[in-house]
Amino acid sequence: MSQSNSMINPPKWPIKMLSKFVKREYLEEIEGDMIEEFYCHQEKFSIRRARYLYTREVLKMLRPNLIKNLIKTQKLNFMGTFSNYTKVAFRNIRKHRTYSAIKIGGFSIGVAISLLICLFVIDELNMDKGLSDKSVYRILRVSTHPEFVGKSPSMPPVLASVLKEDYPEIKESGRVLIFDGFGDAGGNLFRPENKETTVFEERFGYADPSILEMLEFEMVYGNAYSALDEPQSLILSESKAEKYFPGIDPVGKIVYINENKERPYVIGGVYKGLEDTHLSHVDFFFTLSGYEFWDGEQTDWCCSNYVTYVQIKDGINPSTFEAKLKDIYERYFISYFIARGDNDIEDERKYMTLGMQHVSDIYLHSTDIYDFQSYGDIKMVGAFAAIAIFILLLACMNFVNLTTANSAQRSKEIGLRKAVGSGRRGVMIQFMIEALVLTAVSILIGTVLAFISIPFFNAVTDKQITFPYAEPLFYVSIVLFTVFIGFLSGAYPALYLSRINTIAVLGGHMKLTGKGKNSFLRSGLVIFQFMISMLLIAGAFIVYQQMSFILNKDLGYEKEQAVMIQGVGPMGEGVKAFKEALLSLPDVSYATISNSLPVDGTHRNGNTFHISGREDVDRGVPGQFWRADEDYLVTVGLHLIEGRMFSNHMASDSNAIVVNQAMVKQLGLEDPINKKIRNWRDWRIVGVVEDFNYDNLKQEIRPLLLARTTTADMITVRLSTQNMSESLAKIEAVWNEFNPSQTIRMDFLDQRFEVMYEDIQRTRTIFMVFAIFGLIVACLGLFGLSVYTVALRNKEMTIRKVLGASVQSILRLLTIDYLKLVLISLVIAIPVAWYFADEWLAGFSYRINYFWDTFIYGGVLLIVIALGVVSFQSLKAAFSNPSTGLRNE
Amino acid sequence: MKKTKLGEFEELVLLTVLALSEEAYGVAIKRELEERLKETLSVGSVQSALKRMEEKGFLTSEWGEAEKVRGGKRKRIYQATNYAQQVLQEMKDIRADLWTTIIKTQNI
Repeated sequence: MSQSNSMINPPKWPIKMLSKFVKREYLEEIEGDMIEEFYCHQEKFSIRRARYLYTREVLKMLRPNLIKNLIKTQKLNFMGTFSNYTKVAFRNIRKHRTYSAIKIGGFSIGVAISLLICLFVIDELNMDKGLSDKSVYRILRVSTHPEFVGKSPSMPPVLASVLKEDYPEIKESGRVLIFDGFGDAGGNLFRPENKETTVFEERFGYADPSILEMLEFEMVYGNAYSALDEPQSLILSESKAEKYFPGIDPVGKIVYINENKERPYVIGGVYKGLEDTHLSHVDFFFTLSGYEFWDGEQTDWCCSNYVTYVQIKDGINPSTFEAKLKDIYERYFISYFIARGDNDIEDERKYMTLGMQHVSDIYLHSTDIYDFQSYGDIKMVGAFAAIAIFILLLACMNFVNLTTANSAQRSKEIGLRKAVGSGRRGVMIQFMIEALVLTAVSILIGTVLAFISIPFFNAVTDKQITFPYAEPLFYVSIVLFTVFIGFLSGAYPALYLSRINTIAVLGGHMKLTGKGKNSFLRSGLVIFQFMISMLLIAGAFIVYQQMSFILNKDLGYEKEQAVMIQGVGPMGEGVKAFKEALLSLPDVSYATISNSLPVDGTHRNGNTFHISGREDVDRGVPGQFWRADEDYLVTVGLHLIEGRMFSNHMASDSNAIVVNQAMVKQLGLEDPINKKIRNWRDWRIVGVVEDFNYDNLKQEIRPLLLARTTTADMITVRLSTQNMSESLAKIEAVWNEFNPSQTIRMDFLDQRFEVMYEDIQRTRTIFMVFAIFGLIVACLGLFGLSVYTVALRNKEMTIRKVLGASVQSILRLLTIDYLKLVLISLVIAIPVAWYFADEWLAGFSYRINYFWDTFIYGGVLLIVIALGVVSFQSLKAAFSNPSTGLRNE
Repeated sequence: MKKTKLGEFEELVLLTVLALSEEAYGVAIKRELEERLKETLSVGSVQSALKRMEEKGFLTSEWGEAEKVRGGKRKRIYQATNYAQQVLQEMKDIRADLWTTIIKTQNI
């Protein structure tokens, strides 16, 4: 013992440190052990070594079972609070079933819709994104001429090769031709050499061999370098390859197109589907290598039919090439026009030039380009995104509204929590957690809903969207979304409810009328909700009206009871006998041979017409050149307004034509009959037909010319029958006599007509669906609010009733507030809806002009729905037995 | 044996506790072991083993006296439980059994 006096005491700090982390109950013992050892070491070694060992002991004390369980003890408290919040959140969901159902229901719908739209938008935005870093552009012709402002992607055949030769900054160039009805582009009869039956396939196009590499086709068989190199080669998509050559590599196989055995095609490769590109609608590409549509076509500057792509060399700024486009136009186009003898050269110089468009912009940014394809539309994508956000906002507002409205019922709980020591922050966290729990539940349900409705959504939008459950990013964004929306919708209730005055609540002085500042906000939210609902309803109504207007418009021809039979081309002159056989059927009143009809999917072309003798003076009128036989007008139901139809029997009618009114007007003919029109040769006008719509009704009717033919692509028959299926069976029987190896391809004209408007109809359906869901969400919110108001004013109402108030007066009292709000929202929404409707309709040449009645219908509908929703609860209150209301408490 | 495992070092500490009987406290155990094993041990390692075994039910402990040499801190005296002794015995038997087997096989 005495020796310890002479000894140096151990340093203090290691023990201090030790006490920070070693469990308190072990501290005394361990400290003692260490000090004892310190003295012992001091004696045995030296003071320095003893100190060193002593200090080292502290480090060695870092053992899991000796140190304080910092995390565990902290977490227990933490988790305790949080698990209580979560528990209370779930209890509240169960306790206030109606509220919770409304909150979760509205939220889930909102989430499901926004999720679907989000997937849709992402899909649209990802079109051609594989090429976004590649310097590939499409050449456009840009016109600023006051009469034809617009852009066109159609280029003369030689442009691509000339650009590559003459401009060193061009690495590669290539062309695609997907102009339905040009050559074999569009639909064809397809038959592999070893098969018996021909099948009609649509989606054919032409491409240069270089296109495959430029646009980065992914090849399943064959390779992108050489798949289209050989003349008469053809590539097809994976799905089509799987259809005709299941499980084998079809490269080198021979196929016949339209039974043309003299020009067989050889399959050069199979490519992965182009669903995510602007060429998604093409399943077969013929090579352009060594092909000419007519003699000298490939070297001519005359006829613009090709979409031309150029790839700029790496390291060269595309704008340096873009700057040369004006010169290119002068160098090739203008000099061609001069050589041709055009005399509107100054106009050409002044108004026309070339432009270029990056390949990844084609899909969404081509609405101002006169293209032959229909792509997506960035405006549409924007509108959908806006709708998604609106619906989500509606759902969030419901949440905020219902939570604050419900606060009266929660105020006692909050008061008690505060009284036993919870701070404002605690209450805020509690409500945030409640919001998060509700959001999480809703998002889960919403995601399931979205998952279930994907097939329906795909059908409506004509897309192949898949649910991204294999995508980790999807889950990450779902979680982030939950947190974000949870905080967004929980923030206001948390701030508001945490402010509740404890003493007032527990002392029973808290006003429970739901009036005041808070109700002002609530009214604002209701107004906003109904404003959005009104916009959606009015939008849906107007889209619907415009659509019906187009679909029922007098088109200038009869689309009912007319059947078109395609694929008669291979019959040659034999088609005449087939026509006679059809006419001998009792149900067939007329039949006509032609190559075009006023519906999509039939032959179209681009020609320029002049008054004979003025080719070098006038600019020329662009228009269609159709071929038909003498029965065309009666069969299709066109109205002749001047002259006569040409005859197939009069030899002098070989150059006779019938034109439409637009042609007469644009050529500026005073007395059109017997005037001559030039297009390659002279044509003599014998008749004028009333304008009929053969294009999308978004555009004005453009000039058209009908000339005589005896052979063509299709026969159209007009039926006079009630029993359609029987007539069709008879027609088919006749067909089978003439073409035993080929299945008939029949279409009703009116059905084809509707196909033309599929995209607009799609828009209509989507708008309707969204409007309905928006309305449901808004109504859920209103219903929830009315449940709350009625509950709150229950006592007041019963007292009123006891004192003699009638059911009507109580009903009026309870509904009038909401009615006011709905009316205010209508007043705000109608001008906005009007403005947007007018903007949208401006895109149509044939549009409804009177749509104010829409707002009346929409408004009345909205008021009726709102009143219905509110009265449901109010009636319950009005009819309730006063004793039940007063007995409470 | 099945339920609670006894590590090698733990077994040594446990045996030391038994050997020291009344005097079995931290430093004493440490010193005894250091001497026998001919290596230095840290207070922490011994304490850790002791606490672990106490938790597993091999040891019980109670406060002893405070000493000046310990800076006025009390000792904690450890005692092996019956269960510990039983487990030790079992382990010893198993080992012995194995050894006899080894010897036998070597003899044959």
